[in-house]
Amino acid sequence: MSAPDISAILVAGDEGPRIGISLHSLVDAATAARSAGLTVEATVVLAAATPGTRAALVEAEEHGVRVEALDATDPGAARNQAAAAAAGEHLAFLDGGAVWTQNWLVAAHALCAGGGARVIAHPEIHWFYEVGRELYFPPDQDDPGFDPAALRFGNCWDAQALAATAVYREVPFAELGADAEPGELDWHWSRATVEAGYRHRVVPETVNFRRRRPRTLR
Amino acid sequence: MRQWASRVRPTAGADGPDVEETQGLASSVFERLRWCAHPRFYLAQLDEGERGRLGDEPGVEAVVKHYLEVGAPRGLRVSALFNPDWYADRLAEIGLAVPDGEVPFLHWLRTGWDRRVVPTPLFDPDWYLEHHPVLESHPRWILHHYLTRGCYQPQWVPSPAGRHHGGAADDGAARRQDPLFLPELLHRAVDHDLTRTSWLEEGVRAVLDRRRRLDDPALRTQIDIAADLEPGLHSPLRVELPTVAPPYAHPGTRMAEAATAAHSALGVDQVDTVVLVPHCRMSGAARVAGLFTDAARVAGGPDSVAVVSTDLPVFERPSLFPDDVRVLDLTRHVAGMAQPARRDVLHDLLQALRPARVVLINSLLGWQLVGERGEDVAGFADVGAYLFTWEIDEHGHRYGYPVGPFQQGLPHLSWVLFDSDRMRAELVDRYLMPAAARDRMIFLRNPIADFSVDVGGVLERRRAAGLPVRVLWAGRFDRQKRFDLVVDIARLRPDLEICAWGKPVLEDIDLDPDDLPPNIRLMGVYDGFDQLPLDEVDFLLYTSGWDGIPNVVLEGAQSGLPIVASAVGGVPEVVTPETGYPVAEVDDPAAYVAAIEALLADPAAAAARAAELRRQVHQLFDADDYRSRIAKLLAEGPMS
Repeated sequence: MSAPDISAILVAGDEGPRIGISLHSLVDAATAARSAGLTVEATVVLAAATPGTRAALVEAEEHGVRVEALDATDPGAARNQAAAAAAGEHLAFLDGGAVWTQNWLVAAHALCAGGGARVIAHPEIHWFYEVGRELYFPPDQDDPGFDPAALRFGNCWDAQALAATAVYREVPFAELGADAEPGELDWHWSRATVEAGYRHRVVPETVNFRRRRPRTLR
Repeated sequence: MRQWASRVRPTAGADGPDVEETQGLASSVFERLRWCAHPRFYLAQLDEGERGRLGDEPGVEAVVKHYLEVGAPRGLRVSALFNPDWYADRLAEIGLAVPDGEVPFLHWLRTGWDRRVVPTPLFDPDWYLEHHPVLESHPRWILHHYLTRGCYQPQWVPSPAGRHHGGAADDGAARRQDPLFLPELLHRAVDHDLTRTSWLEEGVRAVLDRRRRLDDPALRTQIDIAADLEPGLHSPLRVELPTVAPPYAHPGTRMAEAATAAHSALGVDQVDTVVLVPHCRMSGAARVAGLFTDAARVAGGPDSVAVVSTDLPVFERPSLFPDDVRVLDLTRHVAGMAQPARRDVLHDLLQALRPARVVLINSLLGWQLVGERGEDVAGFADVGAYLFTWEIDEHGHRYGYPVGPFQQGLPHLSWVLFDSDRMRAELVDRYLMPAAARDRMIFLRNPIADFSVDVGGVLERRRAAGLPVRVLWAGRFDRQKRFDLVVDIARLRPDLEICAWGKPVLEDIDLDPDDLPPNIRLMGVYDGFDQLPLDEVDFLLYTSGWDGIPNVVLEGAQSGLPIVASAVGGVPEVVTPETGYPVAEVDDPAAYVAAIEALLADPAAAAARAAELRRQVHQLFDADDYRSRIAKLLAEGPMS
């Protein structure tokens, strides 16, 4: 049996009942991808998930989503563990509390599959909405004005990306501990992947919705 | 003749201030032009020779005049808030165009302004009003508010692309007509034709273009589907926050280039010691920074030391530092950046310089860096610091580097130097420091200045000759130095002739020269204590309310002057009843008068004390000893 095209992984933590919205988004995007002829392994990983979050996910498998409890509680270690267990050729992370546009998996997979193994796909827009809409357009590393040195002072990309699963194994997430500032993990990973020679690209017509912009994402 | 020429040509033979006559513009239009003029932006479009002719800070009037005579015909922009291409597009939307040959900016001032045409991508009136509803009552066109106030104050957000600047306030911005966004506008200036556009304007256009992507039907469909799932993503009832679209507006883009430019401006790849100073002006700390730098340079050799000035673009006394030590004005590179951006640029610069040690000598930015990212800095360099004295606020409470910053930085400090044993003892005692911490707190006397003066005997000769009693007071006319006591003393003893040298630096007191007693003479600034007429005065008066070991006291002592001094901070380590006339009741003018009268009552005894003081400071405050101890500290660490 061949590996699925995509492992779509929702990382659940302390979201409580809100995780249901993210689960729904995962299911919708996976369904859209399957309709486009892709094979998708949809998984929720429980990384230090609170009882409220676990309770909200008790019927996840009825929606075709495998639920996996992780030993790791460190956010970076949890993602690394999830990446190690993923069966797909490509891997997409969705943070608990976030929402993808329905086309995300299809469009991001198309970019990565057509752009070579060293591409990391990001949505065209990060849309934050808790304190008023705030749009963030991540840069495409191929933009002529982009200077990677800017990463020394602030992050450019969220780690809710899609890339070949091998990328996550070659450049694992840093284990910064539970006290790390939101976004630090993403920033570390951005720098590490750029240093490793990967190219961060954006996928037109896709959006990732989250409640709050991390300070590191500038 | 081109149409603009007839409108900007000065009228021959006109005289007087009538702008209508001399500038060829209606007074209301000329007033608008003055509001819009941004001298520093205009200067950036001139070549070096033209800039030189206008001067570094030519002011609005001179720039407007130059623009009308030279800049307008050449297509230069005098206003950072006028973009000719943007204006042409907005005019076209209402079926208008700039007539052939007319200067677009002058057309806007005459015509576009009255039709409320916004001539720049940097300002969106709807966004401005929505985010600042208090401006609904602004009596003029809302762009007028941004032009005359908003662009000079950090709190105003003029566009969906945000504030356009790093958020730092600049008290002089409105006076100079330097919009706060100017550093962003001039970023990568060589890559842009500033007469038409800039890094900032391109960035704002990019944001606006990307925001229009939300109108794309395919994207709209996807957003609508997501909103069906989570209606909250539209943030109903909330005001939108600015959009960010790197590389434009990503602070890291400018910060990275600032750090690289600063490193390049320093002109050296790596140094052993970086000395962080706030600025260099008339202060004892500046002198000590120079002494330490010299000692470190002697120990490590040329190019082993760099001085980085971090807080103010002032370097008035470069002669305090060795000629062959490189000095960097970091403030020039971080202009307009708010914290923590300036801190992070300094951190990046230090990492690039790979020093063995970083030494803080009253640098606020340096203390902030060590307080907030001390673990990072200590990971690649030893961190040393100098502490001189705390400050006292108007309520009598202590603050300053030995209070909060020292506490924050203490875990990361390899050593701290004190020029006053009392200051060191106070900190050791307050923290009940164990031996390992105490050993890192080092008392080291600063060397006396390198001049040889001995006015021993002058007091006795002047008294014997019956000359008026002349008093020397020298220092900063700042709150700390208590010049108010000098005024009181002068009133209590009108027979004293007090010669006061120095100038206000911090400008934290009101000093009206016309309201001083007639027996106080303001002598102006001085360049070196030994340049003062020391053999024409009877004694030195020192009145500071708090201090460490003041240079002026040491310099008076080494010159053989009798000294009457407030017994504050480290002063009693120098001026004792055996060597001078310390005043314990430091706030009481009568106590100073009593000390002065004791001095004058027995000139021979006063001269003897001054001679003993001179002998002591020459013995204890020795330059060679200072250099050798600094060399040992840098080579072997504080436990040596």
